[in-house]
Amino acid sequence: MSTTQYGFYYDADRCIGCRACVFACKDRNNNEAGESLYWRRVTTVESGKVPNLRLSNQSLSCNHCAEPACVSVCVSKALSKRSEDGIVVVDESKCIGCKACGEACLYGVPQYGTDGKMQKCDLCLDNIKQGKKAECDAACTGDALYAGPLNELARTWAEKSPEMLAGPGHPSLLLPKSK
Amino acid sequence: MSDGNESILNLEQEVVRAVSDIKEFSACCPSLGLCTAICPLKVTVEDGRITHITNHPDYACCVQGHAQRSAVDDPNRLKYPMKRVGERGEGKFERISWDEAISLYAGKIQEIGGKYGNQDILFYSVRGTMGLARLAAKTRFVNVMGGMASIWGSLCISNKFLAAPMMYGTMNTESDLDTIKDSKLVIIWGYGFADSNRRVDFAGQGMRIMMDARERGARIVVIDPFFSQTAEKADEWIPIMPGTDGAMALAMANVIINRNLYDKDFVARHVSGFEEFKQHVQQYTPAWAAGITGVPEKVITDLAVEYATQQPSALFPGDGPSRSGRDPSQWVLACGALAAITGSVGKPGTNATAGFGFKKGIGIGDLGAAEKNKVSLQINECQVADAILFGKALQPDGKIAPASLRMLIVHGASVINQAGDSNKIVKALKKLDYIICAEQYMTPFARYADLLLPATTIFEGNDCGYYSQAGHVMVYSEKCIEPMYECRSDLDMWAAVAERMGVGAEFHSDWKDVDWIRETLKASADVPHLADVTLERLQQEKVIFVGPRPFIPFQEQVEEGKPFPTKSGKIELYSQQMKDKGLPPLPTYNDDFEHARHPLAGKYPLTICTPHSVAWLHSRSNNRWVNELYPVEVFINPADAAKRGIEAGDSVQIFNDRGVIERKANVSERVPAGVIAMHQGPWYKPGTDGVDRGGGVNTLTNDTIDSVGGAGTYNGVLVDVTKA
Repeated sequence: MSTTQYGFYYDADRCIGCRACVFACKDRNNNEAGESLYWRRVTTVESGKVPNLRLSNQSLSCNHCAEPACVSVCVSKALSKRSEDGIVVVDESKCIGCKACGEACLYGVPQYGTDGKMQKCDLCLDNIKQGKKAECDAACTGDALYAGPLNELARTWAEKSPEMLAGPGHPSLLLPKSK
Repeated sequence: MSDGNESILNLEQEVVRAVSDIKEFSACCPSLGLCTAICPLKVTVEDGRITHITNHPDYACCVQGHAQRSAVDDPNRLKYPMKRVGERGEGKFERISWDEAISLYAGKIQEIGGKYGNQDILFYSVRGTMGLARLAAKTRFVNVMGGMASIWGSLCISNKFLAAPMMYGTMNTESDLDTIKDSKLVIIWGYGFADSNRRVDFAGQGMRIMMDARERGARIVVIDPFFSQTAEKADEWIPIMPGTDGAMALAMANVIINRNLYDKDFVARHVSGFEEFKQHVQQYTPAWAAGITGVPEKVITDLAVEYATQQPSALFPGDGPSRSGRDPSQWVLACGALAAITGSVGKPGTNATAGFGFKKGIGIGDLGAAEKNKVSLQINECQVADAILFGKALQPDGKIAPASLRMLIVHGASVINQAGDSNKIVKALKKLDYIICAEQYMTPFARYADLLLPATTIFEGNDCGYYSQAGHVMVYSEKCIEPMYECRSDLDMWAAVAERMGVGAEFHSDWKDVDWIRETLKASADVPHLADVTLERLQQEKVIFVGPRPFIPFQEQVEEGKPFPTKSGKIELYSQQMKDKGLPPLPTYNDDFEHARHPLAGKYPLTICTPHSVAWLHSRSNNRWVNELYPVEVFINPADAAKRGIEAGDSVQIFNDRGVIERKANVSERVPAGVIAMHQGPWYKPGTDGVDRGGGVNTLTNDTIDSVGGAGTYNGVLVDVTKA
């Protein structure tokens, strides 16, 4: 098991659905095989009627699960979970494009480029190695999204009593305690 | 885990390899304050090519900043000078050399100016690239050409800034948004902080300040016909019929005065014309306003009572209503009156009315003095078509001047797309003798040019953003790459034309962009907060903060008893200045526009509202990334959709006598019944059948302007919708 698990803290109440995170991610991670792919995606869902009308925003990329289903189904061992930080990475040179990971991931994270290979968020690993923020974190205009070691994020946002998202694979996603 | 580590090893080697030939630059978002934030960007260049553009690590920028790489690399960029070969507007061009292009530019000015006089040539201002480098140069160019007709008014915000001086004696009437940390109630009236970066220095700042204030306990109320992401983060959303905001504001004043909730002490000390105003607002009852605005009487009354009693409260009149209905400057003044009678002025947690912040502006001295333009004719920016078609032009002083425009020179402005009634503008353009357009992309207007000049993006030269509406920041923009293709900057084009005309020295054609920035700053040295801002400091620090923060206007007046900068020294609810202009001296509601109670509503029963999208700065953003993620939709209420058999995702046509647009329907509660909303910005693209399938919303709007501000009033025109 990882000693330190990296992941995200995301406060949907602060998210204004602007998609700066999506574009910042796209700018760093755009590649020829994925011209129209977005590793981070934001959905805005309208619900209710006045006066209970709501827009619910959700920003989501790979959750770097504690028990990633994608890694366990990957026959070519292209997918792995790093021991030092728990980041789930893909080695495209090994990927055979079988799309089993896409079937296994319940969060719809794996995407397939025109080369047939899987691609997804690596939590801006090279940024983190240089002591910089992940692009989505640095770009967030609403102070809603942060990336980093989960224990540090939990400490920073203690006043919001964050809880891990309870979901299959134990995603590394901290959310403020729902009101 | 060995496999994972191995792959990471490869990745690390890649990173090391890449780092070795990376250069990083600090730039400014090409909005340069048009939006009106000024966000610094971090630009990565590899082998002379931009590979990444993202926000400065200390400041967020919006999606438009993040999408800039897609904008710079856009296949729609103009690459070399061209002249028209087909019919005007057909889009057929032939590549020419810069030498021929400059000959044509200079030659046509000489030909048309020589034959008819320079008043027949209109130079259309440069809002698409409004950095410091071009500020003085563009007017100086016009002056050394012997003058040309120029633009007055605006497509956008002058209705806000020119109204307040009538009552408060200054344009600097708006508090920094930061002040709402001290407010109990905050009324955000038609301000899309989530979508338009208004009133702040950097993107997202408005929403962060608003959400922080709410978390600390302030109650936030948003008044807007459209349920925006700003409204989503508020405590209450009050939907209102577009263009009727003045009726609601005046009814609120009626309630506050008649319930004796006004601040008698403040009124006695700082307000003149109260008795006249009191009598005047008796006609504006909440019941009357409810019938006009669609806002229930009780909602109007409750908000008025809350605003008067929960002090300090801040009412922020925004940009949407200031471009809606008839004479929205009256609404700006009504909001100013609300602040005055409740004493919500000059104290932390309050706001007087819409206007500038503390900013005193940048002076350009003799460098580009507009007074030196030998041609006095001015054309309202919203009414270029009328001037061409009917030979008459409304002047800033209210008089009508004859106009016989034959030639149009446009640098970085989307004339067809962003002014009201696009089809009328197209009709007018066809009448002109010659059109020159310097642009970065093949815009709807560029298609109508006779001479088309490819312009550089901000990343291909040096510039400085100085015009954030909060006014506290200047951002230097470094040259990141050489000009792409055969593109040139506007400055280089003007210098070449001036040289060709033999007035190069007079124009300063040897000056580079940095020289223009340096000299313009020198000319502004008498502006106190700019005294220590120099080119060298900008180049070194990149982001410079100026002025006191938070700026709260009229603190000296309220705390120390200094006079307001009006003739009476008080806030003038009765404005002699307005009366002298032949306008209503007291804030008045004018119902003369297209609304649900207008006879035209029998034919076109729906009112459109045209909010900003977070992804579009007016027509800027037509790039692949934005187009992929921000579909062009029309929001229509389920009741209106059901009547027309429209379901979500259907293609629908929105039409009136001015034009037809085709878009996808978003059946949504985000607009009240009777109102549809379409984000403005997407590009006008009429097919052979005349239907605009690009979705430029101004195909449907009109070209009316405000009588004080001279800016367009696009929100509040009637349309109908049908399944395509």
